[in-house]
Amino acid sequence: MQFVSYSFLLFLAVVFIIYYLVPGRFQWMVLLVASYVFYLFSGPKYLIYIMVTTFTTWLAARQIDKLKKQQADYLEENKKTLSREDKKSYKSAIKKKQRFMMLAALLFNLGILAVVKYTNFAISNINAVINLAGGQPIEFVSLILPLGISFYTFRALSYLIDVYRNTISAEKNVFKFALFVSFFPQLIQGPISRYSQLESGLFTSHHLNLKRVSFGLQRILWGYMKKMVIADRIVVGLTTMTADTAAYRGAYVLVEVFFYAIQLYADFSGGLDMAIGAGQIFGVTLPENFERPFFSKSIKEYWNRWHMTMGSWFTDYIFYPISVCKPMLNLSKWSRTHLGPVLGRRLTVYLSSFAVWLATGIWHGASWNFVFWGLSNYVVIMISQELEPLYRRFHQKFNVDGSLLYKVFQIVRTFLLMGFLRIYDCFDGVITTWRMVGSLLTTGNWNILWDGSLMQIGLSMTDYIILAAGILLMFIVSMSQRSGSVREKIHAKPYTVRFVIWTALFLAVLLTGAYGIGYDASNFIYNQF
Amino acid sequence: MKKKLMSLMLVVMVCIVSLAACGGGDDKGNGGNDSQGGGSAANNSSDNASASGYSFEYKGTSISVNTDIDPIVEKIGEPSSKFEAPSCAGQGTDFIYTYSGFEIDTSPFENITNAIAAIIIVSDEVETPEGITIGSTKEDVEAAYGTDYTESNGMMTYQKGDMKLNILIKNNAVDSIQYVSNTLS
Amino acid sequence: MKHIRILRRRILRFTVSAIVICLLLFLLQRLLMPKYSVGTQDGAMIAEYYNDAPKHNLVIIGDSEMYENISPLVLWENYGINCYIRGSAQQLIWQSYYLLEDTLRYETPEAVIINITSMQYGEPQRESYNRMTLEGMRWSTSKVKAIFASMTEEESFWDYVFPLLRYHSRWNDLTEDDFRLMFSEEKVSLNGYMMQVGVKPAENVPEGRPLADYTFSDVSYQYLDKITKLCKEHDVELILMKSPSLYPYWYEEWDAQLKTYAAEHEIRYLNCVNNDEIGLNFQTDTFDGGLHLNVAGAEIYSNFLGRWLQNEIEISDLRDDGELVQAWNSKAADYEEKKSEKYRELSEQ
Repeated sequence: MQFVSYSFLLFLAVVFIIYYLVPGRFQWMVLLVASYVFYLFSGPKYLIYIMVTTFTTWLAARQIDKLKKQQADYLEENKKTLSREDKKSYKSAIKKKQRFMMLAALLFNLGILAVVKYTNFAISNINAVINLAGGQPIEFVSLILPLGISFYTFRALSYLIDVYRNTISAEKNVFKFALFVSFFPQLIQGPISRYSQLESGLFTSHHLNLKRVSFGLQRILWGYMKKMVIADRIVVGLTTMTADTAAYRGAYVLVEVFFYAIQLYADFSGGLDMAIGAGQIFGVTLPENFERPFFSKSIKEYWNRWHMTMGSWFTDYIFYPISVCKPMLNLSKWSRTHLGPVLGRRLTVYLSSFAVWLATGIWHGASWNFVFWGLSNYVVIMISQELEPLYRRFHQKFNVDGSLLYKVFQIVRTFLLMGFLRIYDCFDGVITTWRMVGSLLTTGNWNILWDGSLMQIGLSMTDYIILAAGILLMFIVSMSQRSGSVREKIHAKPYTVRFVIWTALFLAVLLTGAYGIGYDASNFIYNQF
Repeated sequence: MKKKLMSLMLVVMVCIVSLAACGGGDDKGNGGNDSQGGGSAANNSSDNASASGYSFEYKGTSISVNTDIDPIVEKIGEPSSKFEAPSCAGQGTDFIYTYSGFEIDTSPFENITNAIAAIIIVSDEVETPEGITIGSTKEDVEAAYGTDYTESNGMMTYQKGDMKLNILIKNNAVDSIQYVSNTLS
Repeated sequence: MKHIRILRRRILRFTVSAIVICLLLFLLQRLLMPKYSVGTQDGAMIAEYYNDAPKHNLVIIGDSEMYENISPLVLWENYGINCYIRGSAQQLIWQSYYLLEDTLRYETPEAVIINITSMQYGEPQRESYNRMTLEGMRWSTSKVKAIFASMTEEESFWDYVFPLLRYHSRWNDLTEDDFRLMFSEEKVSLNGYMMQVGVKPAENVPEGRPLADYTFSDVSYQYLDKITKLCKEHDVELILMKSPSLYPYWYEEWDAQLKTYAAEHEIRYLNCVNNDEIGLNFQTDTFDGGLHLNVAGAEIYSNFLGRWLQNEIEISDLRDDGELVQAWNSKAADYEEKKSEKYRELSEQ
């Protein structure tokens, strides 16, 4: 079930009514049933995957928790008799068992993810090698990719690791845990929430709070505006251009960079607005995933503000563990003594970051494009980190720090840099992407930007006007957001003003949204991740 | 105990994955790619297979269904007659172009006003590029187009790309040859 | 006390807001819906039926081969048949069935003629045709069922319930007519007849190409069965008819199937393709080269049909009903006026 569909709105309305009719202690069950019904809509075959992931992580976490309790009991009972050494060895034995449990569940679930998502990618690479050797290529397997598998797997694994790390205790009720993994607003495209963030929201009872519900609805409406008015409209022009790499070269690539940046942001953050808004209706606060990323002044900052829940997941569960694992610490020690302090200090950070960006790339899609895209980000971040002292000297010398113009320059620079990196998504293959970006310099068809050629890519003047208005609105809202919640600000206004604002937005989405027959109801870009 | 648990999990995993492997096919998103079309080799290879269907040839000009007829008329000349069949309620106009030995049916399709919906060979004045004409035998047809066809009421149908080649056999002789678009008819 | 006052104010505020929004949406919907009467008139006729007094003794249901080929005025003036044509472009057989169901909610005519050209279509053809047939129907279970039976894959039921959702982007194409006709459309037909006056002789009409399978689809038969059953239940004389037309080609194999069907179910089947008795001349009586009849052709054909109905089913002559006579007198005046106006337009071209 897509968020942008009549059936979703109907579904949401029905769940809403039931949710607030049943006694508080049953509310979470309503959400669980609703989430599974929601998932069922995407195909009953998929259900088994999410159930297996839920059950295995829950079971492993329970076992880890039991071992924890067993250890506490044992130590308490034998407090007097045990020596310090005994205690230590007992603890380490328990820890070993816990680690085994954690790793077993972790590898098992990552294994499922890897098999369904990456088998064909692996086969295509093997075939490339076979081709070189002149052999018979392997046939691709037809695997179904369960909806939102990356998202729910990551959510479940974060819980597992948190239990293992003792930052949270395990959930005893498997159904409650199932709700955390499958909660429908965040099922298909995140955010990748943590158990500790959702626990209180999901399992306590909620009274009908009109302000909260209307805030939730407003957030959903805003998401619809981004998705339907902007993303689904601009995507027409974008696909026209990217589908024909022979015709649309040179300056078109620059247009594509802009279009894709806008489309991806409006689509993805719009979807997240809907998810977070839907959560809010039920009194569940989901974590934010975006913080005006296009206002970032560096790539590093950008990644702290774009798809934030994914970034923090990679930091917490990949970067951090790799940095502090034993071999890495040893390597760090070794490199410091052998390679000197400058390189020595960096080596481990570089290695850990490399792992994170490789994973980020692969996470986004099973193709070399994404691997290269991830690693390009890595390279750019590392270079800018290295150039940091140089920048600082430059800033001091020319005294540009804090000047508005320089900030704008930084923002534009980051936007363009990210735009060109992101363009990997748009083309078939790494080489094509490079060739297209290269054509920007060699084609010299800059006149297409003003000679009316952009009217020939499936977008009319009306489309451009709507897009401009929509983007402007998005920009104004982003600016206003810097000093606090826009909805709160509107809420503080007199009723008539509020009514006019929200009705106008509703009608704007209704009338200018790119939906229905004649528009390709494009799926959310992030559904398949 | 550890080993048991580990192997149990492995078995379960293999089961699930194999279950999935049989299920696929008609499902959307059965690759690991995003919907934006960040392509992998898996995408490319499957595209080529379904490329183009059979084409008819007249005066050295290749004529295929689903394409615009106007440039073709420029090359092969005006038809001996042209029949106009407006769709009800102004929803575009179909045409039938009659040439000696064959006719071409057109319909509006997307941004093409006269897209070729069908090419019908009616007499032995013309033949297909593969050498089949009215009066050829079924064996000739099989020799020219192979045996990968379906048959119903004497109509042999070869599916290829977004078209089908229909050959009607009556009394062991070809009675009609039709290149028909799948989307336009 | 204060608490109650606040609550009351809130309820009032909410009610007013809801009314304002509903009103806005209603007005927008009226404005944005296409005005068939000044555009594609073929979409306006289904709705017009409800404005005519439900006293018809003959109802004709079908596509353009009905609403362009039969003149109800001739049937009235020469045979006393008060007829209404429930026609719409490319009407499919299940749509004919649901229109029959819908009609029977208002009246029970003596006879119903169904155009069976649509038997050849086993699946929905095009959204625009669906719209033209379904939008004009008044809401009833028949309409709901007709929508579900007709929708193409890209369509949604809610788009029929709230046409605003379907036409939301029409604001870009609004004309003065959209404002003028927001609440009432102009009348376009005479008892469902759409008059055409042009002449385009039929030439080079192609033969039908051989088909692999001539059997009508199961769905088509299923709805034909339902039509037959419904007419029997309501004691309505059912006539299956193929209107005179040279194209699209009407295959003998199709004709044979309907003959068999009619015989098996003891109903009448009237095939008017290449029927010399009618007296049509496709050099003068068609406006589009043999697909449909112009007004001259329609009048000739209607005379044939009236005679046939009198002879075959002894349909009653209603010319002694004062109310009807009065209504038809004014319709006849409209008809003649429209005819001369159309001829004038034609001569000016």
